[in-house]
Order: sequence, then C-alpha cells, then structure tokens
Amino acid sequence: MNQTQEVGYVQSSRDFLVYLDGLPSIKINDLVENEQGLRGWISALLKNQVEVLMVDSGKVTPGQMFKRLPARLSINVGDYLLGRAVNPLGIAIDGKGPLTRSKTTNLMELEQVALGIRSRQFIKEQFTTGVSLIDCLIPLGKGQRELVMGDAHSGKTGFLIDLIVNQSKLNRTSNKPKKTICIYASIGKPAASVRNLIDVLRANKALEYSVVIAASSSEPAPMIFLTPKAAFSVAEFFQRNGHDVLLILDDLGTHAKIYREMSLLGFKSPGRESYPGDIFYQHAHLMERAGSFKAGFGGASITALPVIELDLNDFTTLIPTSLMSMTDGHLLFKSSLRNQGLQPAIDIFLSVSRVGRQTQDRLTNSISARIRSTLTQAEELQTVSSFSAELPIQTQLILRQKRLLDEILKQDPLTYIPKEVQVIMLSLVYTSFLKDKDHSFMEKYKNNLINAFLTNPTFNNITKSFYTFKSDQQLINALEAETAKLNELCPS
Amino acid sequence: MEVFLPVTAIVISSTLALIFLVLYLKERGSGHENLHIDLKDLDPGGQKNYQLLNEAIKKSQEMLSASESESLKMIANSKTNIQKLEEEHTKELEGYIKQFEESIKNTSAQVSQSINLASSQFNTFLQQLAEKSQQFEAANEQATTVRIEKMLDQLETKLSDFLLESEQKTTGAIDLELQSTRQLIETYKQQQLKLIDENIISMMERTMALVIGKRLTLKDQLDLVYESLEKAKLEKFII
Amino acid sequence: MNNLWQKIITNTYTVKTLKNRVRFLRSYLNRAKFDQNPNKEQNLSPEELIWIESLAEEHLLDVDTKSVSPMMDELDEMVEKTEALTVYFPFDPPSEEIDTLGSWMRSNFGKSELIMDIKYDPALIGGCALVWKGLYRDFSVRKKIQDEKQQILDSFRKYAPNS
Repeated sequence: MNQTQEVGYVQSSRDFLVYLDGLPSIKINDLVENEQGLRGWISALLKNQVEVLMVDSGKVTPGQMFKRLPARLSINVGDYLLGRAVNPLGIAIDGKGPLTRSKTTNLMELEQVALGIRSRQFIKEQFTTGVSLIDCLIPLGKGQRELVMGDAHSGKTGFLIDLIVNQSKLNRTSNKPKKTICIYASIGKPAASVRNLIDVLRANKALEYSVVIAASSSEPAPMIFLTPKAAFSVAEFFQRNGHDVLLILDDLGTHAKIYREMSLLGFKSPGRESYPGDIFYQHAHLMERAGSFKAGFGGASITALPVIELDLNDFTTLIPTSLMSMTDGHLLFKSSLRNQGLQPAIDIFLSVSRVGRQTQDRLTNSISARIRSTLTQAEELQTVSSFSAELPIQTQLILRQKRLLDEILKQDPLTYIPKEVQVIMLSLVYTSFLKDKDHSFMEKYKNNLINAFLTNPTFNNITKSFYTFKSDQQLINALEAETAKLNELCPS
Repeated sequence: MEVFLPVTAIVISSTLALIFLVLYLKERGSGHENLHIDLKDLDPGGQKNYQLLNEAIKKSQEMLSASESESLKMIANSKTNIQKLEEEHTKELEGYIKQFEESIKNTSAQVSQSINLASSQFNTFLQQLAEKSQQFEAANEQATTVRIEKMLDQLETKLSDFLLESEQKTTGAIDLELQSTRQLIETYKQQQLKLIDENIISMMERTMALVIGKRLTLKDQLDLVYESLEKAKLEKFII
Repeated sequence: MNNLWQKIITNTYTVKTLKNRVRFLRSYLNRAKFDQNPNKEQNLSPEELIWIESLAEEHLLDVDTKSVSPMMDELDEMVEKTEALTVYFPFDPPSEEIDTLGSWMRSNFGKSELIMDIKYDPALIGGCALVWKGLYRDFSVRKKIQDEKQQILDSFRKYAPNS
C-alpha cells in the first residue's frame, strides 16, 4: 500500500478561492480537504500553484495543509434520492435524517462529457404536461430543452410546480414500469423558498417521484455553482436506468452571476457584461447532457427546462440570448398577461417550440394550426374592433372565438387536463354549440364541460375514440352531433 | 235502381206535360164551342199550333203507356233476380259450411291419433328409463364402495409419508436457522471485537502521546528522529 | 552574488531562519548605506550582529547604494526557489539540535542546500513526518503503531481473561 499522501500548503486565499502548492499529480475536479475538514475542489492548475474552490465555508489561512482525498467531485446517486432534498455534494438537507445507502450506491461524477451523436435518437414522443396551452399550442417533446423565461412575478415557478405535480398524477395513473422522475435544481434561491417548494410538493403528493437539489443563497459560491452539474448527474443516473426525466434548473441567471463572481475573484479577464469568456460553455455543456437516447445508452430521455428571469424591455442581454440559442425553443412569460388573469401567462406569439411539432399527433396538430390562425386573425382585427361600432359578422365571430379560446386556455394552478379533453374543449369553439356563446358562458361552464368529457358516458365515447378521428373536421362533426345534449348540460 | 231513375224521370215529365195539357184544354174547353170557331178563326199559324198540340198529346200518351209497361217489367225482373241471388248464396254458404265441418272433423281425428301415439311412446320411454336407472344405481354403489376402500388405503400411506417429510423438513429448517443465527452472532462478535481493537489502538495512541511526550528525554526524541530519517534515506524518499 | 548566497546558506538550516536572516541583512544594508545617522543603535540581537559581521568583511565591501536593492531582490528570489523539506516534529527542538539535524540531512540526503520547514504535531508521539515535493510520508512512532496494530493486539490478547 502506498503510504505517501499528496499534500499542499496554502499560499494565498481569497474568500472561497485558495491557492496551494505541492499536490504533484493532482487533476482537475479532484477533492482536497484540510485539517479542519473543509473541502474544496481543484478548478485550475497553474504553473506552480493549484487553484482550489472551497465548498465548505470556513477560515483558510496561509500555511494550512490540504490533503488530497481519494474521491473526485461526485455525488452519490441511487433510488433513495427520490422524495429527498440534497445539496450538490449529496448531503441531505431536508431534515429527514441521513440518506439510506443501499448496496447499489453509485458515485456519479459531476463533470460528465455529454454523450455523442451516436447515442441520440429522434425526438418522437410528446412530453405531456397536462396544461392545455402547452400541450396543444407549444408542445414539448421528451428530450427537448425549452427555456422558460419571463420577468419577475410572471408565474414561472408556479407553472413549474404544476408540471411536477401533473407528472406525479400521470405516474400514478399510468401502468408503465418506469415512471417519469422530476428533478428540481434550486440555484441560489433563499432557503425559505426551497423549504416552501418542498412543502408544496409534499402537500400535493408529488415528492414521491421527485428529487430536489438545492444550494441556498447563503452557501459559498462554488457550492451554488455546482448545483446544475449535480442535477444533471442525478438525471443521467435515472435516465440510464430507463426513466424519463424532467429537469428544471431554476434559475440559470443566478448561476451565471455566481460564475461571474468566481471568475472575477480569480482574476479571469471579464468579457461582455463582465461575464468571463467561457460563460457560454458553462451553460452549453450542461444543456448538451439533455436529450433523447437510444436503447443501448439507457433509452429514455432527459427533458431540460432552464429558467431565466429577465427584463422584458430588453431581453437581448448576453445570458438570455445565449440560452435561447442553445435551447430548442422558449416559453415567454409576461407579468402583464398574468395581471390580466391569463394563467399560465405565456405569450403564444413570442414563444416557440422547435422540436415539439413533430411529436404531436396529426389531429392535435391540425387543431392547433386552426387555433393559431384564429388567434392571428383576431390580433389583426383587434385594432379594427376598437374603431368601428358595427363589425361585420365574420369579424365578430373571430373575436368571439378568440375570447373563448383565451378562456379555455386559462388553467388554474395544480389542475391536470388529459390531452384528449384539452383538444376536445378547444375544438368546441369551432362547433355551433359555442357559435353564439360568449366567454362568460365558457367561464361559467368550463369545469362542467371538462368533467362531462371525462366521466359522463354520453360524452365519454368521444374522448375514448379520440385517436380514431382522422382529421379535425371529423372531430368537429362528432361534436356537432352532441350539440343538443351539450345545450342540455349547460343551460344558458 | 239505375234503370229506375230515368224511368221515373220520363214518367214525371210526361205526367207534367199531361197536366199542363189538361189544364190548357180545360181552359180551352170552357170555350169549347169556341174551339171550332177558334179553329176557323185561327190563322194558319194557330192552326199549326193546334195540330202540333194534338200530336204532342198523342205521343205523350203513348210514351206514358210504354213507360208504365217497362217499369212493371223491370220490377218483376228485379224481384226474380233477387230471389235467384238469394238462393245461390244460401247454397254456396251451405256448401262452405259443410266443407269446414268436414275438415275440422279430420284434423281433430289426426290430433287425437298423434296424441295417443306420443303418450304411448312416452310411456315406453319412462319404463326404459326406470330400468336403466335401477341398473345404474346398483353399479354405482358397487364402484363407490371399491373406490372408498382404495382411497382410504392411499390416505393412510400418504399421511405417513407426509408426517415423515414434515419432520425432516422442520428439523432441517431449525438447523439452518440455528446456523444462520450462529453466524450472525459470530459476525457481530467479530465487528465488536474489531471496534474494541480500534478503540484499544486509539487509546494507546492517545496515552502514549500524553505520557511519552512528557517522559522522553531530548536525546530519546532525537534518537527517534534520526531513526525516522534513516528510514527515509533507505526508502530514498528525498530525491 | 553566489558567494554571498553560499555563505548565507551554509549555516542556515531552516526556512524561518533563512527568511529572517535575509530580512536582517536587508535592513542592515539599508541602514548602513542610506541612513543619515550611521551611529544610531541598530536593534539587532548579538547573534545576528555576529552573523552579519561575519558576512560584512568579505562580501559587503563592494556593495554600493545602487546595487543594494537588486542584490536583495535577487537574494529574495533565491530564497523562494530553494526547495524546503517540511518536517513535522512531535516536540520543539532547540536551535543547536536543529543545526545538527540540518547538517546531517544535507550530508545524508545529498542536498547541499536543503532547508527545513519545521512544523509541530504532537500526535506523532515520536520520530517525525516528512513532506517532500508535495508528498507526505509519516515515519513516526504513531505510524509504527498503526502498522504493527495486529501484533500489539495479539500481545494484548494474551492478557485477556477469556479467549
């Protein structure tokens, strides 16, 4: 047994940045620990020194000895993570006791090279969210990276929580052996909001298939910086075991700021907006780890939803534009829409999903094309309508359809609507049942209609035979046939 | 009826003509003497009229008599026709009734025949059935007694086998359990011993650190240091 | 320059002493060359004075005001470059013994300019632990105990009542 151990002595230290000498054969991402047990990881190898970023907060003085640890920067992964909240190094932070280590504990390195093209497959399956606006108009695919951006208080976090809760509902009702796992990475958020999130998830019984990886804003910057890497490593573990994974990174703007802080402290040259030159790499190499993988590489998929908060007056700053270019689409949240009562407050015209369309079935695709054209026409006619008192009938119809569609697309938080019912509800706008009805009618009867299409045997057959319809016109005709019964159900 | 209407029309029209004529004649008759005078007095037109009237009177009288005779003929005819029809109908009806009665008689005869046949067959069948069931019962009884005896024998053997087997199994299981618990105890013992060993070592280290640190003289310390340095030299630690 | 360096390093065996001596030399020279009042008392201890005076004759005569700074900077650089062997002692050795140790090391390890960086670790019980070029190796009594653990335990077991 080799009895020598590599050590290094502190030459200089600056907050969480420590420079050591010695450590002759150390590599980047190895771990070192000092006599007080404070750990750090090697971030750079300079000519005569080694740069270490401390993950534990404590006083580091020159002359202290740091020993090299046998471990590299990694996290323990396993099924025991489900339902728990951990920090990026794998220590439990939810107060439910230490993580039970089963025999099949794996150590996943935080820094992984993303799998290459050979391992990827075409994104064919839709990622069902249970939110009408997303599933019909801006569909997501399994393995897609979709940027969630918006200004403050526009309902992004609420929407993301809805996604997690709906996935857990889907998990409970489906009989697939491998469930969808949700991983929420909280990057530099206050400890109270992390606590809040865990409580909300527990109250909605969504923790069973979720993992929370959090570094609160009081942790040292390197710890916060490691959070997305840890989240991706955990996601990759589950993906390699055949589970589909939903990974939410909230938010990457804070991550970029933390990285800027670390780089400026380390005297790296600042670039645009004082961010270091490799900020794009830091985000891009993370995003590349998501995707849809072939069976030989675990099958399944990792769907990544990075979040960024921005100023809507100017979203041409560096980080949002970089993120937009490295993701497969974005969802734009506006607080103004939220104040008008639209929830989720997504601007349909400014949001895009580049990969989602190929995953939608033909019927939903044609309905969504119809809806989009109606909404576009209504936008154009909106200005006209404010001028003229007496509008032609066609214009009135389109405007009324738009208001009905808006009303149907509104969805209360923590509600789940199956995809078939979503499309049926949206198709109702094009039937004679809603031809003369106003959006207040829809406001009154929306829930009744949704319940009817879910449970009422008279209407249930349409829902059950949803996939037999070959075109949107067929579906509309089928709904026309039920107009009388619908009128009975909803007396005006 | 159809003949009746035109006949009556003719009769009525002719009687009316007659009445008119009689009245006219009466009127004229009051001045009967005047008639001839009238005739002479009359102009050629009037004379013609008189002639026409006479012809008309004759014709109508002829017509009346003809129609009367015709009507009397028709009445007689119709009466005879009606009588004939009635006779025919009654004949036909009687014929039908007779046929119907015959057919009923035939069918009832057939039905009663078939009923008799069926009941006789049924009776024979019942008899056969009764015989068969009796035979079957007897055979069954025999077979069941034989089988019961066989089963009892089998049961005996099986029970004894089972008891033997279960005995073996339980003893085997108990042995295994015992073994595993012994093993568990062993491993626990080993673990505890290891812990104790480690405790001993650490205690020793601590005591030595305290005691020897104080007791060793400088010379001893230095000797130890030189020993370590020799070791380092041997291992070529400093290159 | 080299001569001066050689003179300094010959009887300096620890990093601390080396740095201190260089520092004294710098302040002495600054005073000697730049101070308006050369007769002002210098705050040096007798050993230091002796040492500096031993240097003074041979090597410092030809030092003038211009070459003081660069010479001292060069000396500092050479100090930085010197490889230090970090030694962990469980006790605090007196300076003569340190010198003896130092010269022993220099002759036995074949490094004529070896200097020690002395640190104190009482948990080592006896002997020492060395760190050379970033590699830490424990040669102390503590390590010996850990290595001989089994034998020690066996001998303890002899005294155990049961087994």
